[in-house]
Amino acid sequence: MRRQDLSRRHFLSGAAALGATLGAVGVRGAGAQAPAAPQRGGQIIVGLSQEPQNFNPVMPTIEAQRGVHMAIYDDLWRIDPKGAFVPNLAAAIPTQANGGISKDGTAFTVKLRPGVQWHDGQPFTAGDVVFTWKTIMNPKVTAFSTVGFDQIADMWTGDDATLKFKLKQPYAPILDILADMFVVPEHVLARSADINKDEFNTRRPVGTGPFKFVEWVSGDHVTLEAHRAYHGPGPYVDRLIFKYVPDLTVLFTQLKTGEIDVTGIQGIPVDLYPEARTLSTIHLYVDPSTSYETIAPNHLLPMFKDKRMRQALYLGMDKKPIVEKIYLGLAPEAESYVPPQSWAYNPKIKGHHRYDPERAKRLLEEIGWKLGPDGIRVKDGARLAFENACTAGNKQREQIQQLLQQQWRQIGVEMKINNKPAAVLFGDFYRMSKFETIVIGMGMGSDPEHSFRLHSRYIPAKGGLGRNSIAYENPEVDRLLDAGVRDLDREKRKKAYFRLQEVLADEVPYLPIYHFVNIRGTRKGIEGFRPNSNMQEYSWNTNEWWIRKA
Amino acid sequence: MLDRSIVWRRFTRNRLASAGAVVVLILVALAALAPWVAPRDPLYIDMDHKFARPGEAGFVLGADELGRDVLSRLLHAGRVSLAVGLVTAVIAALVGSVLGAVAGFYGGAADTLIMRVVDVLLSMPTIFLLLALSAFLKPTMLTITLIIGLNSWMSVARMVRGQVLSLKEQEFVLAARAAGAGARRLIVRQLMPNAVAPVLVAATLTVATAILLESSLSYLGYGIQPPTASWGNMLNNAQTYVLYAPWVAVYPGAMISLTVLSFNFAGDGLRDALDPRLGP
Repeated sequence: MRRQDLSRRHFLSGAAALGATLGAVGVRGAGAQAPAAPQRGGQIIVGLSQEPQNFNPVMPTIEAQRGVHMAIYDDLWRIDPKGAFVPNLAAAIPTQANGGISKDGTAFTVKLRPGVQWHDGQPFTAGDVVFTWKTIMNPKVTAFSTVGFDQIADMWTGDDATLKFKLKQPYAPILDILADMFVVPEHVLARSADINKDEFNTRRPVGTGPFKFVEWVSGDHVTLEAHRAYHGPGPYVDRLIFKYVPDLTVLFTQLKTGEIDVTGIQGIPVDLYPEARTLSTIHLYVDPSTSYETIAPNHLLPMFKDKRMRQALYLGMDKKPIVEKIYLGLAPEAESYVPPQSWAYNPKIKGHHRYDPERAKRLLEEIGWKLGPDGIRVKDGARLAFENACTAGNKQREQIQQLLQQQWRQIGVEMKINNKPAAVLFGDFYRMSKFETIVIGMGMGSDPEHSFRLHSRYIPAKGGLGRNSIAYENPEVDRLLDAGVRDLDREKRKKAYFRLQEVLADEVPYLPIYHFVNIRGTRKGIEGFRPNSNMQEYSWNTNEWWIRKA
Repeated sequence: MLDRSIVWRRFTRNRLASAGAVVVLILVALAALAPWVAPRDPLYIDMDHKFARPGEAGFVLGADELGRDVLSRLLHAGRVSLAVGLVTAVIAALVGSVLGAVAGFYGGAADTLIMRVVDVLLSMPTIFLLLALSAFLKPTMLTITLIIGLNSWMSVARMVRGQVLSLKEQEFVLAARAAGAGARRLIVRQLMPNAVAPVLVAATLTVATAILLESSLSYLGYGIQPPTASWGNMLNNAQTYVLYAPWVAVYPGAMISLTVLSFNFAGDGLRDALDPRLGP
């Protein structure tokens, strides 16, 4: 364990003022956290606000499930909190220097870790990895995603401990994609008549990870127990239990009362943060995430096709009260989808957005929207009015909506709120671009590749398989997104993404508001918990978790 | 029907009932006059006064999570909540009386059809029906009132049908029939006046249920859309702040309880006052 890890933002009660910026959050207890030998034994209960229901990592998934998969399965490598690849089932990370990647960047050779065992005692081999990739690509299997996996032309085994694959063309994010591929056992699943409905998925999953599946009591909890033959350090605790607590306020109460030890997925809502700070029985972790909150306008509407309209709305948006009062100063303002902690973040665009209602008004006048009698602008008899939707009942978003409504009214724009249940909102209404504007959170992941949200080939309303549901089309953006994935050299990729962020700052296809932070809590005495914005979940290192005995 | 003065005397003698009626009148008056009575703009967001305490910076009942004046919002929310309640009661009374009377008077196929529809609607869990409907309709005050109203007439219909069934065999109705009165005249002039008392009582009680239903819809996030306030959505927004800003939850909660209680007391009093079997 890297105890001196500076990126670990171990937030403790009273450590920093409420308005502290992320950079300043951290500290107390570097001494209290002095390296200590992990102690063995005990059980840790993780509270989840969504119920995990499928334990086959190839199947479509929700965040809560991913958290459980990470404890049961292994991937070839993981990404640590600082963004470095750490070998897991692989013995080393392939690079051009160690001969793992060919000169042209398309042929890969991966040496696997020897002596890894499945939970049922069978040996793990390169064949299992090939089987997993083939299963994901099998059209009969409803895999969670084939994005990136479809860039692999073929995968085969050199010998039991050597894996080889070839890409169709250079594709830089491939290592990140494989960090999210959990390997399933060929000797169990090859016999399956229909992997989509196999008992393996719900009652009998088998992995190589630090914890073995014991039982799932639906509606209540999932129990895992330590896999003693695990290849890495740990696991140190005997049992890991994921308990389903649907309400976030109740989840937090259970952390306070000690009924759960760790808050999973959504963690602690920012509303409850002021109270959480005052509790001496829990550790708080406030960490940057790679997701951001944004207003998404529908570019199919003529109104939003003009970039000056989007610029005017963005100039009329005052992020300060949102970030400082609603998000309590914890979340940094966002200028684009790339979070400040990413290697691809272009520092030059910081401060590009300014709140300038006067300039916003001038811009709207320029493109012909003149003030009407009721204070709302009109052009050719049409009022400058549109609807905005978010998930009904999402408090932070509803507060943001109402604040924006007031801010935009001041530049003569009327925004009406019409919220919908999540199932309706994220169904065809959003996906097929039937909305006017919405408030939505979007994730980047560990790699800056973001084509499926921005590239014109991924517009569902125009037949694309992706999530460019704002239907944004811009040839220069397309070109930069393509350039970004065609080179393995990070410096060259940087150039493309830096330029992309400048174009986006000018074009404003989305109107980014702030980067999310994850607020998580553990009961005091739980050690080894390391939030990691580069992996999808908090439970990427459950093998390292242990309990400090009082 | 009883003499009006007797009803009035009985009602006013019932202290709870009169208190309920007085409170209802005050609430309705305050809601109606909200734009003139409210000290501030209920929608104006002032982030510098987020969670101002009651009495602080001129916020009589404090400020909410967006720094809006709780008192002004309460008054304006009263318009929404009371309107939803009263209009629902009218819809329920009208639709319920007409269908109940038709079913009871004509019997046969009409009766079977109407009463089975009532059975079906009553057997559906209201809150799920409302949630399903509001997912498809745009939640405005009108649609929400209509949805709740069209879901509240069934018990009135059942009651009116029962009344009509027993009344139509009584001598005065038979006499009117023998004198050649037609169906419409019988229903409108003979039967309905005798069923008015229970309908009135049921209607007052419906007001209370409707306000609660709107609250639960708002509580689940499918009610009146922000920024418009209703007591229900104010309470919903307040739920996570209960511990450190109790005023944002306590006042709307108190208003809902007060209104529902008052309508219930008034309704109960009205029922007793209109009951011909009780002495003067």
